[in-house]
Amino acid sequence: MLLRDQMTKLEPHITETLDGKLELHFTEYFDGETIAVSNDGRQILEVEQLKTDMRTSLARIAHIDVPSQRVELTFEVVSKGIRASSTLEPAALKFVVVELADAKLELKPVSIEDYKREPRGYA
Amino acid sequence: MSTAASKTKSRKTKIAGQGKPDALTLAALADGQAPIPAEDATLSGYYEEQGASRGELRLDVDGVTPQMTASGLFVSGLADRLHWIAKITPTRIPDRWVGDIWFKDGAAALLPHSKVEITATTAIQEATVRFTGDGLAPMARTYRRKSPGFHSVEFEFDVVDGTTAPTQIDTHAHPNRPAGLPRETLSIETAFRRAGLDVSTTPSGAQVPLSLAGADNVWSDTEMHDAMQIYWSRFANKAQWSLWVLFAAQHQQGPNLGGVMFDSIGPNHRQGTAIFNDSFIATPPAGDAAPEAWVQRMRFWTACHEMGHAFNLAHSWQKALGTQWIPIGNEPEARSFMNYPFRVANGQTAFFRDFAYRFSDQELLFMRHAPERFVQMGNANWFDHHGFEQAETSLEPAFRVELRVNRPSPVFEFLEPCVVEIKLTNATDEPKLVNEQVLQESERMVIVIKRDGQEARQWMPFAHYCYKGRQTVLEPGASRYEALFIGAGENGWDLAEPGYYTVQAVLRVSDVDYVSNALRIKVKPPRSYEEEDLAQDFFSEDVGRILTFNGSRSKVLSGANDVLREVADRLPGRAVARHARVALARPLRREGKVLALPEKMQSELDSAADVGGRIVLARAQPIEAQNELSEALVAEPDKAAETFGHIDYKNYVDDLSKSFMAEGNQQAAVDVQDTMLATLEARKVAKPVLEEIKLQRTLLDSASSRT
Repeated sequence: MLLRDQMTKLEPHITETLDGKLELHFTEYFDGETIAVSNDGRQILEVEQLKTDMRTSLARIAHIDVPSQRVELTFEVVSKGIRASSTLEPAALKFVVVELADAKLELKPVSIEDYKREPRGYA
Repeated sequence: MSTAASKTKSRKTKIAGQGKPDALTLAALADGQAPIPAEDATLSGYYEEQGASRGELRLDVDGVTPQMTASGLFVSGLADRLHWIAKITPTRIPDRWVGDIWFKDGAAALLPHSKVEITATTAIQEATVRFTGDGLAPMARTYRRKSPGFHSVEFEFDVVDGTTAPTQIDTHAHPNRPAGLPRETLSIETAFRRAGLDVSTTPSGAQVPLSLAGADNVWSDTEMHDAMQIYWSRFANKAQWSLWVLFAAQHQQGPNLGGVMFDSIGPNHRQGTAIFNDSFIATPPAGDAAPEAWVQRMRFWTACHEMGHAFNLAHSWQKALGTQWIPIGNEPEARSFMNYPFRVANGQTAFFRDFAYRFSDQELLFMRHAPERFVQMGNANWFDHHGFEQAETSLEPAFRVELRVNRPSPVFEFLEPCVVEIKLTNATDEPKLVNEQVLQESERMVIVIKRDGQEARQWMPFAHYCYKGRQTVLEPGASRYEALFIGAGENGWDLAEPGYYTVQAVLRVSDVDYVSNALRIKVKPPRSYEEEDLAQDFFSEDVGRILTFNGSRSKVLSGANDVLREVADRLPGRAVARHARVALARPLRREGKVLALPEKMQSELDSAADVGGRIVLARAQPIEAQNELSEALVAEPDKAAETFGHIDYKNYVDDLSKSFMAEGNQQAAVDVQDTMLATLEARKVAKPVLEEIKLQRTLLDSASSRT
C-alpha cells in the first residue's frame, strides 16, 4: 500500500536537472524500518515504517525525481546503520527492487530490457 | 504438538512439486480425459464416524497426487477435540495401510496412541482405523465415506463491469509447457478439485459496478471489501468454506499488482481475493510465441495463486517465515501456483516448462489435512467468534439458554468481579426432565469469553463438580438459574481489563447442545490511580480462587486475603469492596479446619506430614463475619443485589441470617430477610423466589417470637 504520508521527499540540489524518474520497490523482509535514500550525499527521500505485506511480498512503492542519465543512490536503514549504494541509469531502468535480507540491503535494478523479457510484479 | 511431530524437524522433507513435475502428477494428469478418477473407484476422501461420536477421517491414498496420509478428528463433549495426522504406507494386504501419528493438536488425552492401522472397503465405502502403540489397549473406530474431497468449498466468481473472468484455460494453448501435459480445458474448479477439494460454485456471478472503485476507477482493499459485502451472495461475518473471487482491471497500487487476497479487514480474513486483468500479467514477454495464451495463462495462474492465499498458503519462498503449522522448508523452485514464475532459476520460461497446474505436496498436505481452523476461510483459532458452529443444535429446541446480568445495562466497574446468571427454560408445552445440577456441572457447559479485538478464550472454572444424576421435572415455561463468576478461572482473569466483551454459553442437555445469546459486557476503565495500583495485586490467581470459593482460611492464600482486605478498606464505595468483604467474612462464620505448617518449610516439595504439618481447628469469629457481611449486603442492599446478582445475593443474605440465628440474634436475622425481600421485590425478582423469602421470614419470625 502506498502511504504517501509516510514518505518525505526532500528538496533537491538547485543545480541538478531532475529530468528522470525512478520507481523504488521496497519488497521483502522489512519490519517497521525507516529507509533514507541519498543522492550524492544529500538525502532526497525518507520512507518510514516499511513493513512487508506477506500477501504480496511488497512493502511499498516510491517514486523519486532524479537525473535521467546517471545517479549514485545510497540507501540506509536509519536505525541499524545498514547501507548500500548503487550507480544507476534511471533512463534505462523500469524500477529498482530494494530488499532487506540477512541484515543486508540488496539493490536489484530491473532494466526496461529485462522487464520486457521477463515482466514481473506482485500477487 | 506431539513428540512425534517434533521429530519431523530432523526429517528431510521430500518436496514433490519442486522443479520438474513428478511422474505421478503427469501420470495422473495424463490419465485420460477424466483425470479425477471416478468417485466409487477410489478410497480417498472425507469420512465421518457413525453415531453420536462426530469423529472424522481423511484418507489420502489414491486419486490425484495422493499424499499417503490419514488424518482425523476426535470429538468429546462440547469443547474437547483432537486432530491427528499419520503418514501411512500400504501393507501386503490390499486396502490396508499402517503408519505413525506424527501430528497431534488439541486434547491429547483423547488419543494417547501413536500408530494407526487402516482398513478400507471400497464396496461399502467404509474405513476402520485401529489405533495402537505405546503399550495401550488398541482402540478401533469405523467411518463412512461422505465425499471424495477432503473439504467441501464453494467459490463465487464475480466481475467488475467491462472485465472478464478467465476461469478456464486450454492447457496446450501456449507451446511452452511440460512435455507430458495432457490437453484439456482446465477450469479453476478442476484445479482445486485435484488439490483434493469438493468444489462447487454459486450459480451466476454478479456484475460489480466500477463506480464502487471511486472516481479513480482503480480498487483499494477497502473498496473491494465493501463490494464483497454487497455482491458476494454468501457474505457473512463468520468462518465458512466459501470464497469470493473478483476480477477487476487494476488496483490503486497500479500495474505492479497482479492480484491480491485483499480481505485482511474485520474479524474474518481470507474470504475475498481479486485478480487485476490489466496489470503486469497482461504484458507478455517481448517476442513470446503465443502472447495471448501467455496472458490468459498468467491470469489463470494469478487467480489460483490468490485463491491459494485464501486457503492460508504462503508464497513458495516464504514458507519458513512467520508461524508455521509444522516445521516446513522454503520451496523457491517449486512449480506451484504459490510461486512467482519469474522468481525461479531461468525465469518464467523455466517455470512454465515444468508447471503442471498444481500445488506442491506440502501445500496439498496443508489444505487436505491441517486442522480446519488453519485453512478454512474466515477462520481463526478454535472458538474464535464461531466457537459453537459445531454444536449439535436442534432445529426445534426444547430448551432456551440465556446469559444475563441483574442490572439495567451490562456494565461493570473496573475490578468488579463479573458475575452472570445462566437461565435454562423449558421452551416446549410439555414437562421435561433435566438433571438437577444441569447448571452446576461444568462438563455440560462451555462458556466462551471474547474481548473485542482479541482471541476468544474458554472459561475454565477452578472447580469441576460431579453430581449424582438426579432428574427433576421442568414444567413448560419454567426455568432454572445459576450464578457464575466468570471473571477468573484456570486461564487467569479473562474478563477484567477495561473494554467490551462478548460472552456466550452452550449447554448440553440430553445430548443436544443449546447455544445461548451472545451477552455483550463492558468493563469500565479505572477511576483512579489507586484502582490501577490495586489491580496489579488483585488480578492474581489466588484472589480469583478466593472469590470463586467465597473465601479461604488457607495460609497459602493469606497474601490474597491481605489484598482483599486492602481493597475493602481503600475502595469502600466500590462494588469490588462488597465482594472482598463477603470473601473475607464467610469463612469466619463458623469453625473451620486448616492445615498448619511450620513457619519455614525446608522445601516446597516436602510433604506436609514430613515437616510436622497438622490439621487444626480455626475458631469461628461470628461477630466479625456479621459486621463484614452486613456492610457488604445490608448497608446498600440494591447495590449489593446488583453486583452479586440475585442468586448469590440471596444465598449470602440467607447465610447472614443463619449466622445471626446461631448467635441468638433472631431479630437481626428477620431484619436482613425483610431488607432482602424489599430489595428483590423492587427489582421485580420472580414470584416463587419472593414467596420463598416470605416463608423463610415467617419461620424466622416465629422462632423469634418463641424466644
